[in-house]
Amino acid sequence: MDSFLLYCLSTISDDAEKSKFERLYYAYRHTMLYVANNVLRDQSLAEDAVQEAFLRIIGQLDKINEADCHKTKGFLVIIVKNISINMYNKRKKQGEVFLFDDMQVTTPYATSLAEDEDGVRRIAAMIQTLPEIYAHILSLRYLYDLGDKDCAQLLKLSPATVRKRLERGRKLLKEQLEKEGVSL
Amino acid sequence: MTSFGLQDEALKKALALYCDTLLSDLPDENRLEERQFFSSGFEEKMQKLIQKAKLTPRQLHLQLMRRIAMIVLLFTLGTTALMSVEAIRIPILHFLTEVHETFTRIVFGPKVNDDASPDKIEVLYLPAFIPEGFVLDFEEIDSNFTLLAYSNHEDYFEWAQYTSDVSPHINTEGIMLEEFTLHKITYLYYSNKGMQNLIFEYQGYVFVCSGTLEKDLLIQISEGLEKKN
Repeated sequence: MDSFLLYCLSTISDDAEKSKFERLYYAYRHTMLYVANNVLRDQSLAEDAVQEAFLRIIGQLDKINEADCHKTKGFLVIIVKNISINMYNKRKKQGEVFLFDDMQVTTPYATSLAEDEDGVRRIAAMIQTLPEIYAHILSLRYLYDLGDKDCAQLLKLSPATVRKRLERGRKLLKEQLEKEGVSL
Repeated sequence: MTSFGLQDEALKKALALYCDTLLSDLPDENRLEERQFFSSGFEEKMQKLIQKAKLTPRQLHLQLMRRIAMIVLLFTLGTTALMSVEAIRIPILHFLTEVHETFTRIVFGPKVNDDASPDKIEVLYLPAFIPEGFVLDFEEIDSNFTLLAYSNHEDYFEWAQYTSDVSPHINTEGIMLEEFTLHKITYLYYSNKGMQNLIFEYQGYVFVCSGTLEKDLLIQISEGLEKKN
């Protein structure tokens, strides 16, 4: 783990990137812990998730233009949430309850968006109803413009799995939108 | 990835909105800071990570190389310890070698004279002779460890100086550990997997010169040492 960390760090060649890393840490660590804790309900595991998120982000610092911006915060939240969900699923796989993978997230906010006439808002509302693993991968790919390889590195998946998830996510979204009479 | 065709822009906007929603549910970072705390273990790990992020790529590369070398060393030990036979101690000048079946442990000490074996590197010794065409690639100078790496287009060698409290383990499976004395200094030499290695003690410090160079050249490098201020 530590050697991997050193390897990751050795890939940061620019001083600005290094200070960006520090700024990201101090700006969002509490939010990230909060997100991880909401999924894992365990302080120690949540800390592990936050640390893991920062380790993965190291390889993608060049993709982050500004440390202190809304979009960056969203990026970090998606990564840490994804890691937390994976950790949660790993722990629960042998047992009971639902897996986050299968969970449909429908929030009151999503409903209100769906009622809105604006097409973009309706799509956003539909994205919210997708299982999070698909919403996350769609965000990384289309909002953050990351390639399959970068997504794979961040989510610790193979590029083939990333492509499959993207495909499935798009399909699900398309189906949902067609039901609502919105065509992409 | 263009199956959304002309609607890509709409999807991007929708995803941005989705992310906004994701964030709008979260409390403010400052408020969270007041009510949630990280464990000291986590803080410590992250501080180390931040400190390491401040190191230059060269320093990091060297640390990585050292870590890999240590892992290889420990792996070698772990896999050979079970098969080891009773150690034979061969006293030589200032160090002892414990010869096991498949590895040899070199113990520098017990110290003959504490004054002669500093706990920290107080005087840095560098080779006076560097073969033509070799340039310094990496340099790490620590209180009890110094590593310099030189290379040309084809070969490389490393020069390491340690305090004498280190006890290197070397994999001697299938190789010959050779001991010889030159100018009253005892050297240990072995070659393994294309790497030639020379180990010796001088002025209370341990030196290791290793690389892809021939034995004679390593000796030539190690023979003349000069103090670096």
